[in-house]
Amino acid sequence: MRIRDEKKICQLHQKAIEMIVREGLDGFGINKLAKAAGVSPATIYIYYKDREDLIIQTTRRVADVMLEESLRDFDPAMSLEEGLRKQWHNRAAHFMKNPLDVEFMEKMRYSHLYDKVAVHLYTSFKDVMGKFYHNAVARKELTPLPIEIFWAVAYAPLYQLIKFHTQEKAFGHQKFTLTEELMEQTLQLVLKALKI
Amino acid sequence: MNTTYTAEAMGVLVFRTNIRFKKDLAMIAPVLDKQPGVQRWNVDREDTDKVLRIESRTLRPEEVIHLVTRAGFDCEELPE
Repeated sequence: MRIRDEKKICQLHQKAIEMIVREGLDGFGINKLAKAAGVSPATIYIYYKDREDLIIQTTRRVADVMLEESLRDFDPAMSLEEGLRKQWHNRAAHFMKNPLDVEFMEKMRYSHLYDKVAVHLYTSFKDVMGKFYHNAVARKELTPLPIEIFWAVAYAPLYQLIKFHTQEKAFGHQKFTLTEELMEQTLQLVLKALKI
Repeated sequence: MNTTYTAEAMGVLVFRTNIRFKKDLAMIAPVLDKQPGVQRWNVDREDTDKVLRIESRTLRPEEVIHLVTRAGFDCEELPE
């Protein structure tokens, strides 16, 4: 009987993420992963049913961590300003700490496998974020908007700044570093747009 | 998806095969489905080794190789 080895699973997930980010999904296979991770394909099949199962489980793990960190110390009862600031900080921290995971999710989002992951993922997240939105509308802090519009205005500016930061330059060759002050300055603009 | 890790309680056997196409699957399915001791099985047709994975408490690798080769396919245990 073989014992489930958490460390080995973590290492396999990590290697799979690296490989998929670097080479894409098409060329990714159990054999290649086995070589890169220094284990036998047989070992990988102990833990995963097949290639698809491995990719889906890896994606779910990455997404779970992402959502968990985004909701850390966040309360849907927070005011619009306080709640958005918490979300921005949590997301920025996660993105900076795990750039590879973020790139991986970006790749997965355009894959046909993503639907199989997404259905299980966002239920609690959607629930919390939905409450936050409705609370803010009920308190008359937030202009009622289609949720997609709210989402785009509330988060897209942050994501663009993170992109500039991780690309290490914005325009031309000037290096861009996302600081606390710049983030706050942008957040104030976003709040101005969203607030009633 | 309902992923349960049965691997701990269950033996997992893995084999390299040439079960490549849907019609191959249709040939091997009845054999494995009615084999007592096979809890779950699947073939990773996306993998170069076309890995046949079997969860079983009782089966030995030789028995599987015998079954699969008798159905007309290559079957070789993957080394640990």
